Amino acid sequence: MAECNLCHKHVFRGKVCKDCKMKFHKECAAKVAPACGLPNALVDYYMKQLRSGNESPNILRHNINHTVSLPVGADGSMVHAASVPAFAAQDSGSTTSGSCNSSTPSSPAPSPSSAVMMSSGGSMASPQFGSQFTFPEISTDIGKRDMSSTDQLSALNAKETASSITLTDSLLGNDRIDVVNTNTSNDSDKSDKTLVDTNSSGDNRSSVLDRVDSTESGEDGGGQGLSWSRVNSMSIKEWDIPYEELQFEDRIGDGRFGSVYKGNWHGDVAIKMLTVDSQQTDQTSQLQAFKREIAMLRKTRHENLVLFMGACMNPMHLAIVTSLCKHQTLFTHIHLRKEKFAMNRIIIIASQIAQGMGYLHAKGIVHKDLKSKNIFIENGKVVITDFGLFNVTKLCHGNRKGEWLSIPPGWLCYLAPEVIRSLQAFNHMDLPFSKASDVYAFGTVWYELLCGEWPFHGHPSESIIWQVGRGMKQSLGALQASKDVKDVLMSCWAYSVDERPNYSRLLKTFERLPRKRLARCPSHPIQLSRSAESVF
Amino acid sequence: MYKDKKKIGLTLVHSVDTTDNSNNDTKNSTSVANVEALTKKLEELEMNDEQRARLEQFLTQKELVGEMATEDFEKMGELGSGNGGVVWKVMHKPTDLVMARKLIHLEIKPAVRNQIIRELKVLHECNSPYIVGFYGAFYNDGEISICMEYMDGGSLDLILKNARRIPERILGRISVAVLRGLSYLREKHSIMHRDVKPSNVLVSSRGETKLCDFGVSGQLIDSMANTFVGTRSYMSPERLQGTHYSVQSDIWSMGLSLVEMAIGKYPIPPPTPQELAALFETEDLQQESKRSNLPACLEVISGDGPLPLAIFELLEYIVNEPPPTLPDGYFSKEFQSFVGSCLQKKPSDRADLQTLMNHDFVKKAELDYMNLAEFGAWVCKTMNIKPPS
Repeated sequence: MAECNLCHKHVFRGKVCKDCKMKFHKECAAKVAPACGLPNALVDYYMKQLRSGNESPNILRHNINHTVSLPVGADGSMVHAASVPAFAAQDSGSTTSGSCNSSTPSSPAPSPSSAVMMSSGGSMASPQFGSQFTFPEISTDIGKRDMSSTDQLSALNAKETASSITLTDSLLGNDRIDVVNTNTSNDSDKSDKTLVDTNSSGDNRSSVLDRVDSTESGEDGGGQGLSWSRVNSMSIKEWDIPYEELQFEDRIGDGRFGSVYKGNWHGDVAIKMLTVDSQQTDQTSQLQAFKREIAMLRKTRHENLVLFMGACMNPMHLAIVTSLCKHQTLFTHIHLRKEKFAMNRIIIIASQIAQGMGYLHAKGIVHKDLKSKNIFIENGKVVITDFGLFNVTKLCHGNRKGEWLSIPPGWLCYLAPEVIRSLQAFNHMDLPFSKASDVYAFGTVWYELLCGEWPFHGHPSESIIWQVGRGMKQSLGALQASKDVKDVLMSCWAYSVDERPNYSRLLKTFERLPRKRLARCPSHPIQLSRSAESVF
Repeated sequence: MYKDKKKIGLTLVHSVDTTDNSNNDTKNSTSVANVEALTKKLEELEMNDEQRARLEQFLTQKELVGEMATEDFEKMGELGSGNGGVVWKVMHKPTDLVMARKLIHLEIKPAVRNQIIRELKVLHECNSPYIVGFYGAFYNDGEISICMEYMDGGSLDLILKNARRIPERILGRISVAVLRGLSYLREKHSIMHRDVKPSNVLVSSRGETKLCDFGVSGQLIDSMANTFVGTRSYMSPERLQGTHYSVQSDIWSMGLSLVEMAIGKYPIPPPTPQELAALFETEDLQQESKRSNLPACLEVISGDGPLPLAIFELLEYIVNEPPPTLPDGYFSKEFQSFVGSCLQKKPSDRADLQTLMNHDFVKKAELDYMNLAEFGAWVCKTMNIKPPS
């Protein structure tokens, strides 16, 4: 039967330390010192040293400030940084010579993190890294150590241990050793629990948040044990903007989501307020969807994509904050100002769009709403906005029974056939957007650049749905352009998903397209110019 | 497209000064002259004395309405929504007239909005017992308001919800009105309706049946903030395919609407024999379900019925599959023949307005039609409204 290590009474249901397997009642666990500490034998040794006056906390402190070099395993192999053992020598033999003084012995030294050598119990190196050190002579002692002797130790070394306790606390940062409930097993506790700090470097005294981030960027360490939701929620802190910090200025537009405002948050920003649909009963899932999308957005950094700066997670004031695009959209240039673009400018713009989109796709993000209204031209540079946000919106307005699908003007012509065929009045959220459907939308933008208007202009919505769904395309009879240009259009608008190019291929195609009329003098022999493209 | 159509009827307009209604020029003498001039024009239309009197009454009342502004209106209730805007029952305070006010939200440039208002002014000249009356249109704060005659019976889709199925005899009257309305628009104004469906046919407690929401402003159609597509489409096959279309397209829409109102369910995809049997249950059961206030949409998705179609699938069905027909045994041969002529997929196979006007079904119904009061009584009973005093 299990015995509580503190009060020595029978414990049936309580907490157990994952490392040293000591058991405590719940109340006793609170009273227990927060670390497993050293194996009993080591404590004995330490006590001996203390009594002999060789050890003092000062040394410990001194050791802490060191960047501990990777201790070498007993067999000479390098120990994994994360698995710096809590305690000293494998064989007590080598430590007797007082190598505790130094942190760079040939054998593993009591590393600073092992300042947890106070209190009770034995401990082994964090199990997940394997135990590099075996303590054959003390393994039998583990668990048998008496609390009473530990108390003695504590009493004896009240001052020193007190200071070492504090040291330990600071070592562990925000962590508290979490003694695991017998009933549950929590992966996250693996790394919390410790003696061993996951990194031996001094700057790891920092908070869990940062450690999570270092985990995210691919470093190893205790983060591996953290569950996904914890990582997610940790990183939320980075980009969550409290609503009060946002200063609102003029409203600059209305979108499917809600209104967009110019604002100020450490500089000019665009604040996109999301209208929360009060009709929808399932607001938590809407919020979750929002969080997921945001988590994805923060991964994007590209000169052709609008900079995502943060989001306000207040359910009453859901908002997305991006850098402000001060200039005009391609839509304004083409449809409102009726500008005609020269071929070279078209190619330059299209290439930048393809670059930004290629980046998004490489990051695994589907835009879902590429259109000329979402493409800004700032001094010749393309900035794409509103990527990936489509699922956050609700299309179904008006009739509350949901019998109608509300179609904003200039939306249908960007939808690929497979998407259009899936449009339903009732269930509208599961449209099959894909990278290929993004390429289709790009084809429409390409058409706008060339012709100055949307394809299927003037046709009623139902007609567009049927025609595009059947694979019919806008006729290109009126389009004055080279075959290569038309080919781009046709391939982007291909009915079959597989036939549509990806953005990398498109970029290569754009590079090959002639941008300018070659100004050749009349006597220049024609044969030298490229045959098909010489006439433009 | 629409913009290319010439409006032959315009020449008549200049002699009548109704286009300047929105300018506040309401001297009594000119008003009387206006009405007289209009009356003369109305004589050209075929109508009986009752209809003529009502139209004149409407026009007289309309003269009292000067330039309209948002503040003049007081909301009395919502009449419906969808299709681009919301329609309110309102009180025009200066004149004490009850109107229907359609609000369409459109954020557009002044130039575009003025063009829309201009194009809507054509509605002033659409005066017919089969076309809903028009008071005026104006723009205010991002919204275009179109003020129309209030029809207390509401639209036919609401009538259908209450009545569950509309009797053939009533549908005959409705067919007469729709045909005459379409003829009027075509002959006097050279426009087609473009959007014939049950929700765009209004009835009144006085037994009138009128068309509304026809495509008079091309610019308005182009600028529409949102279009709505749903589980039903009344668009003809040729229009769906993007090919050339004409007033024949309206005839398809009318035929489809009639079938829907006759069987009580949108007929695409066609109802199974079981569904038909359920639709034509005895009167008692019909009354019961009416009392239980089942919303109409439940009929579509209940029980083992087919899952709602994707919009594309519905449109594919209209284009590719045989057109809907009236089931045998419940309707007269004439009625079946009539809708059969309307619901031909090729516009050239479809009967045209003139042919339909001469169809037996219509001829029979015309005799009925002039008894407006009888129809009005049916409307009142169905919609539970008080008969006019």
